Amino acid sequence: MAEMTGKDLDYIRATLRPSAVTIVGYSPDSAGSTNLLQRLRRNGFTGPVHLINRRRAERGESGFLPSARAVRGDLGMVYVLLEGPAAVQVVQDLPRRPAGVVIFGAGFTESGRPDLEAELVTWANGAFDGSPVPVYGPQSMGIFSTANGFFGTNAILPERIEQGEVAIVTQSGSLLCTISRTASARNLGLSRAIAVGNGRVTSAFDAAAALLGEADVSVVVVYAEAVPELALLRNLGQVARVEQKPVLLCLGGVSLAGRAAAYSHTGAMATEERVVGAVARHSGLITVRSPEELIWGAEALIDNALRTPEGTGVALIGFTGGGVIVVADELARHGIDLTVPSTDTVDRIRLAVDGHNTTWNPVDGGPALGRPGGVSEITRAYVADPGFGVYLGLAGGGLPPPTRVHELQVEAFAQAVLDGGALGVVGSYVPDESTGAWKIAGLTTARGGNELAAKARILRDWSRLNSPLRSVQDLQDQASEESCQVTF
Amino acid sequence: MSGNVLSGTEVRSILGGVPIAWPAAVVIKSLGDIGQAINDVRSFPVVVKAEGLAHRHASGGVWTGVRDRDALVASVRAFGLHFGFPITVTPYLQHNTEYILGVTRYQTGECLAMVGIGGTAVEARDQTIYLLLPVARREAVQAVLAFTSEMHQAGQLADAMIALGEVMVADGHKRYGSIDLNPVVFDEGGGTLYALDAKVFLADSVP
Repeated sequence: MAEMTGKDLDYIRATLRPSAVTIVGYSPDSAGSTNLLQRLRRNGFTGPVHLINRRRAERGESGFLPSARAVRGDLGMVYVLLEGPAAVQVVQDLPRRPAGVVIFGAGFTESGRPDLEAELVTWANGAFDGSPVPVYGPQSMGIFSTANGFFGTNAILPERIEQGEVAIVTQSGSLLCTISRTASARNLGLSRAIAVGNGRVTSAFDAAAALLGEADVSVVVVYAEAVPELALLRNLGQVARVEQKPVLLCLGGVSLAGRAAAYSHTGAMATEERVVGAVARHSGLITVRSPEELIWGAEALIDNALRTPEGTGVALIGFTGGGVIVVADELARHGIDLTVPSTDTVDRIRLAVDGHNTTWNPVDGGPALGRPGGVSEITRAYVADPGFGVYLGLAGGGLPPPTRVHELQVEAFAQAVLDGGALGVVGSYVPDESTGAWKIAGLTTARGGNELAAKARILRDWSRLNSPLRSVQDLQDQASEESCQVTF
Repeated sequence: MSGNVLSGTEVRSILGGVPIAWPAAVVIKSLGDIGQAINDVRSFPVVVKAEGLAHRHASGGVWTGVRDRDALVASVRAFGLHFGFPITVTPYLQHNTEYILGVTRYQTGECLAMVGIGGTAVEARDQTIYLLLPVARREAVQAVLAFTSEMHQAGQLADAMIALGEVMVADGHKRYGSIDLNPVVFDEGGGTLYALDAKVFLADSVP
């Protein structure tokens, strides 16, 4: 059987380019209704918008239809502004296949009515011939696409979202807002977003797989709170592998609880956290620890142009002495071992630092700073080592570089990393809010040890996914860290 | 014997298709069998186990290094008194690392395989990897290489894990909730993989 690609899920992608919109339960007195309509029009949607409100239509108010059955032509994306059983009834009464359905309201499983969600699943899979109908919700905040200006969402979004390469899939509507705003604040462009709500009909994982098939999407970030089937992770990883694009996954609310002691060892240790994390990673997904890391990770990958170095080791080069120790500790907390470089690499570094160093990873580039080309020599000494693929440059004086000398150091580091085709992060070890939008071409930047370590971990995981595993040692190193990794 | 946990010859029968060796076992079904059974023991030291306990070692139901016939008789009598019968006697295999191989049904109904460092402190050590079944051989080998750098050993462990997984997946009636092979070891020459202990936990034993 051919491997599934993102393009096989075109029926999900089609929800982001509907030819029409139908809003059921629209009321001009409801902020939810009016916000949705205004946002659609403000962002340039020119297709027909059908407003369904039975009472207003029966009163003869202009512009309203009594039901979806009265719509002539394409229903397009159907937005249901009702809750619980009423929402399900509306969906079941749709006379034709819509592009998809968004259910904003609640009143389902969280209200003790899981049967209603089961009815939606049945409807989506069987109401019409062909592929299932995508249903986002209940409790979805909608969807948007900067590629074509379709903003069918009630989420509180920034005034303007820059068009970019990152796609968002989230089970949490509030995180759709948060992630979008954080991305915008960091000038990280977004391509598309889908808030799947409870995700019981169309899962976050299928939505993510679909977005991988979009040509202008380079990275997909996913926030989910439930994994109904582990196979969904495997399927998503397969699509990511075929499309050669990274998927960052943050799972919220996974249980740490073990099983009863009287059970088998294999069963007792199969906690949700351990199992889901392991299956996600083995499926080729990059797991992150927080929604913030979703943005950091996407930024790091985009800034580094998704390069795929051969080596997977992480090297820390400091342009300041004490800082490397602090950052090395932070890296350890993120599960990153700074492996010792080869003897040849050590010899090259020793030459570059005039032999003053006692540690080689991290390496304190301080002794070389006074010499023109010193930073470049140290960095290139490392880049020549095929075991390494991710380089962390700890900027002396913080970011943005406070003087021209500091700037030259950072530029020399960056050029050496780029010349080696590797991945790089330039960071400061103390968060400095004045850093603002300072960037360096071809690499990513980090403000503070936590962001630096998180980006390092994510870039390392990306390099591991793409590096040909060249030796038993590579496999062992990777799997050893996996076996001891409890949190993801 | 606990009705929810299978061990001994019944497990060997269930796992007959798994490419793993089993130490030759002498099964003692009652006190009256001791004499004949001990005559069947070919060499010492041996390991004496009480069958039917879910976690034998923790319950004191495993004695290793039993060195001669007198010690064996005494062990069997003591086990018979405390734990009942049957009792198995197997040769003590010299070995280095103890591994664990396992399969279990996850809460979603899907089946998982597990490999890691085993033995009595397997849960305390917590050095294991879970894989979703069915698992490709390359994936299995890659996981096993976390625990051994010997490629031929990795291959044997991976093949055993895959076959164990096939037993679980083929269990259409979902009779098995979980299967532990713990420990599995390589003999002193490092060439043959043995299961020193194995248990099948029936699905109704799942809490």
